[in-house]
Amino acid sequence: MLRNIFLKGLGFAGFMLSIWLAWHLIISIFAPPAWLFPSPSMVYQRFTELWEVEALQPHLRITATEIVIGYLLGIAGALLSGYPISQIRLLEKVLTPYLIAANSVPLVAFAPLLILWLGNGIEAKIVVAALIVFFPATISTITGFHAQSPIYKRLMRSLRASKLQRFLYLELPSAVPGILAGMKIGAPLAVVGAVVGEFLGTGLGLGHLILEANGLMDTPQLFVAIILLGMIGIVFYMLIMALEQILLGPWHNKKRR
Amino acid sequence: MIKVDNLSLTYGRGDRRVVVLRDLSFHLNVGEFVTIVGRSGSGKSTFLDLIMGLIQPTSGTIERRKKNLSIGYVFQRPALLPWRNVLRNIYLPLQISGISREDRRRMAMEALEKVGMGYAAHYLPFQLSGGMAQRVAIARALVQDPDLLLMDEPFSALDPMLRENMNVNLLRLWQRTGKTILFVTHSIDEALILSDRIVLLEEGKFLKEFEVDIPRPRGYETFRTERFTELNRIVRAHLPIQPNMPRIPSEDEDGVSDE
Repeated sequence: MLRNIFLKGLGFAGFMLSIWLAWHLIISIFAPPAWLFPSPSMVYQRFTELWEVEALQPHLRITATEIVIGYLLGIAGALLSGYPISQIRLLEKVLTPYLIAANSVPLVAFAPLLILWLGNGIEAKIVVAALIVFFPATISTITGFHAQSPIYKRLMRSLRASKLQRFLYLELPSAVPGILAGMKIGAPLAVVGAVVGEFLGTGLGLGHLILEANGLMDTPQLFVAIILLGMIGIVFYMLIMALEQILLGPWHNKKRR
Repeated sequence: MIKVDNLSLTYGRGDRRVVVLRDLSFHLNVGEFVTIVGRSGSGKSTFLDLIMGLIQPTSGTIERRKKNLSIGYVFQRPALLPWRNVLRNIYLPLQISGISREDRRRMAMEALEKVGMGYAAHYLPFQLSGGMAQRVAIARALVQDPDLLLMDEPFSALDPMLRENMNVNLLRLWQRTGKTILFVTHSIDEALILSDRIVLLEEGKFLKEFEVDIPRPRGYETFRTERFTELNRIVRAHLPIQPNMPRIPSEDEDGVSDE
């Protein structure tokens, strides 16, 4: 387990190093102007400047809050609606086409409408993030709850398990891989949802920082915001991977082999 | 222990009516090992489901001589929950019955010892071979010390050598525990080595019943006894040839007759 984490960490560090090297290489070969493509050192310098005057922290805090709350709401909604939909055939028949249709509509298109309805505060961004997470996570949850083999249902019936016991000992654990798949898909989407919401209004958040940097042609700041967003996405994804390891452990490792 | 009278089961109505089991009468005594032999689709597993009470018959009665008769069920496949280790799989029935944590661990461990797999308590199902997994499934069925054990082709997925081995192990287990067992298989060899009685089931009807008078204890050598071979021949003689089975024409038959 520890060896695994170490190897993954090493791989990640290697990947980051190669990006950094490639970036340097591009700068030294093409020597683009800083407003077009700044060097890593310029971006780092801009980052420290912004950090020292606490110009980054409020934006980072607000975006992280939007992502986390939006994500959790989206996943909670997916779990609460996915289970009944998977159990009631009529509900599934009626709703699944709409869920798939809603999932194919670019939900960011609803963002202006949500800002109009909910105002320019954090709420609208949270709802955009939650919505964008909700649909794919719900579809994954439904698939997860359908993933049990009939023989296990027969086993539960032969053991005279109650509905609650069937849910706790069979349905929920067998749905965990599906639910986690939805959670993994949802993690980067929550970041997209929050930033798109921020693009459309408010004076706070990394999305706003990107717009501001774009307006001022402050490309190093643009890079700082983009890198921070990427890092939020990676940390988020890694947390879910850790959760997956805890919940599925060696059983899942076997399935992946 | 169990008396079944004129049991029938049909599905559907009118033109779509399918008779699964018809007019079955049967009894099972305490401590007996009885095997129902039949082809796939003959209604063997459905009969076990009826005995278990998982489905209700269309007509007829199932009389249980003991109130609250406890029944353990072993399926064709082990059906071990892949996210639970062996011990937790075995105590699932106890968990469902609300037995305390310490008691269920102790009882599960005892059941595991009975099938000779005490060493594998913390293995996960993917770490077990087919035979080991089915032994764990037997331990799970035994953990509540049931009055009756129903076994639905439990060894049919195993290779012949392992199957023989499992049969002998099951015999030893049965002799040690004295359980009443109703076993279902399509293998006549398996039925003969294990049972006191064999009942032939064909297209939902009991065709014939045989007493297996091979002396006990039985073991690997029983497969090579004359009585075993003789009984095998007698039972086979009563199995009808299936008229609707597609067959490959022999060389002197014209396989292409439409020209």
